[in-house]
Amino acid sequence: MIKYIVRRFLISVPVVWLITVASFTFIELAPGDAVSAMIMQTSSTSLGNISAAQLERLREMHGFNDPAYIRYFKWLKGLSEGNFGYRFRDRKPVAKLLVERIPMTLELMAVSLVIACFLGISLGVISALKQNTSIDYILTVLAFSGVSVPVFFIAMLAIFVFSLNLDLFPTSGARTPAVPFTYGDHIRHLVLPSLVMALVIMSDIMRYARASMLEVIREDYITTARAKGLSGWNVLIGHAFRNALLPLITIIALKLPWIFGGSAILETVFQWPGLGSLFVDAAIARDYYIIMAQLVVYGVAVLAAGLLADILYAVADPRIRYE
Amino acid sequence: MSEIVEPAVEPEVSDVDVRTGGHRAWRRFRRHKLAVVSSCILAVLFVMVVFAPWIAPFHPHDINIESGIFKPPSAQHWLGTDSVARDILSRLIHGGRISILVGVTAISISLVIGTVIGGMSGYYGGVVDSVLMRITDVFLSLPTLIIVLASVALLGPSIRNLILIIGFLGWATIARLVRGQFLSLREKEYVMAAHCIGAADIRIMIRHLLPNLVGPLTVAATFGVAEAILLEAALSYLGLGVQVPTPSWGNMLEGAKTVSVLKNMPWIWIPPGFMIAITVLSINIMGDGLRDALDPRSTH
Repeated sequence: MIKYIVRRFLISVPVVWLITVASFTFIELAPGDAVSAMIMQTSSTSLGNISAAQLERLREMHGFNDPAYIRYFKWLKGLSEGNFGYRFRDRKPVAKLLVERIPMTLELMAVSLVIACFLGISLGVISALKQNTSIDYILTVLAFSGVSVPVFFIAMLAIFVFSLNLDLFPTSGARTPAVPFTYGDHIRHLVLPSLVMALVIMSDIMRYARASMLEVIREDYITTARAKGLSGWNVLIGHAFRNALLPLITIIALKLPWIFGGSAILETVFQWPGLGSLFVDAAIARDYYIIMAQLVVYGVAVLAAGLLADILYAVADPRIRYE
Repeated sequence: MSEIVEPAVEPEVSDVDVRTGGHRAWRRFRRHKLAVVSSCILAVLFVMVVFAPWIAPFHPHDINIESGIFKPPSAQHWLGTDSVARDILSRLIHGGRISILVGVTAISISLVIGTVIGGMSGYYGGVVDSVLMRITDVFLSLPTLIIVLASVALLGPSIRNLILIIGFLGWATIARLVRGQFLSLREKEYVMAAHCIGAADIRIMIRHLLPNLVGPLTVAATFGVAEAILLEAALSYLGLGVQVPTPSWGNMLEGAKTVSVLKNMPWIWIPPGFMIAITVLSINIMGDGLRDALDPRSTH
């Protein structure tokens, strides 16, 4: 097992390198150029006020005239030293931004994932056990709604009802500005975004949980367990539920990058200072360093999620033995 | 039925199957009450967007200065006016055109790419399969929204770019589906028979294998359209999709980014949000019904 994990880690190293190549190439292929985007960001002067010669000098100064592979290695060297470039708007180092933002996104993800797993799995199992009853239908429509209604619209409705009309929670941000940080205040800010996100993730998990449970309760060993005279509850929890959970572990772990990415819109609506809102702002401003750095971060997240899925599955299912 | 009696080179047995299969599928679909209701809603929406210019009371770009900006619903403007005095109902009706256009065309692109790649992978196997499937795995694991956001940021926001980007990113699930089916179908005896009489690979793939996939592909495409509409809405909401003055349900919600609009003018943002929700929900439920009807072996 340990050997397998170590080997997977080693295989991941060249993949991380490929991710950097892909991210760089992706930006490189794009039309438009970073210097002009930067000028529009850093100063109020429009491009018209800058002469061609000045533009050329700026390009030279920032090293944009070097061949692509040289710029790639410079950037890669920067990455290895923890230097991800800077934000055009205020020249803040991207590395510092990432360090600030990653914990915020992880916090939001973790809280909503816990709520979503708990509710999603329970409701999914209930739905499966009551298959084709009105409870099943209501839960199915609920699950479909959760994946069909745009997350930003749910977020807006939540703000409209709970913040603006009932005044229960703040509308946005992660803390009240100009007030000393307290956990109570932070948690009040966390409630709405994490619940909205949990609702969306829950809907997805519920559908898988239902399908998985339906499949398991038709297995022969369930019939055997019942035939042996075990009570319905014992069969469900001891035999069916545990086996139904197995595929869910992989599915949820593989969904992590999707949740990670999906948080971008949610964070923007709630102005939650996480990775997602940083990325959306960077995309709107065409801030190359941030986009490039974040593509690498998301790529690594996908890789880590795949690794996590495999390891969790091996831990949970003793039949699986990796050599 | 007469064509079977004729000594055709390739007996059209499958034709008969499809027809009775079609009947059975229709019966199964009708049993799914929610799916039937959803199809009706979608039919109404479809008529609405096709005849948008005749149904909408105003032109969606028209600035009705005399009506005033941010006006609540009234007899003249049933859903009120927006920040530049445009009629919201008219924009809503026209906005559906864009959302549905983006969804359907983007999925058509994904379908073509996915079918070609998955088909080659499943039919030829071996090295071709390994290489194509590794590429497919990469596309499957991409966080779509992030890549779409980055691509739109770089290529610039426009309806055409949106369609191309969503289309080029969505083919992986379809390729997987086609590959799986081709892998098992290519071992069938009728494929062997077609080989023996000298049919070319391309002909076998299109004439003999692909028709078996109409059901699963329809289901996959239906869910794909729903996903594409959601993506378009999200991007337009962020200001990176369809650009004003062209209305889309997504960019109509963009106006509600300020707290005052959100709080005091629900007529600006609730109707477009509701339209996206009802459309995507209907498509998803119809897809569920289609899956039960066309692809009964699938357990999901």
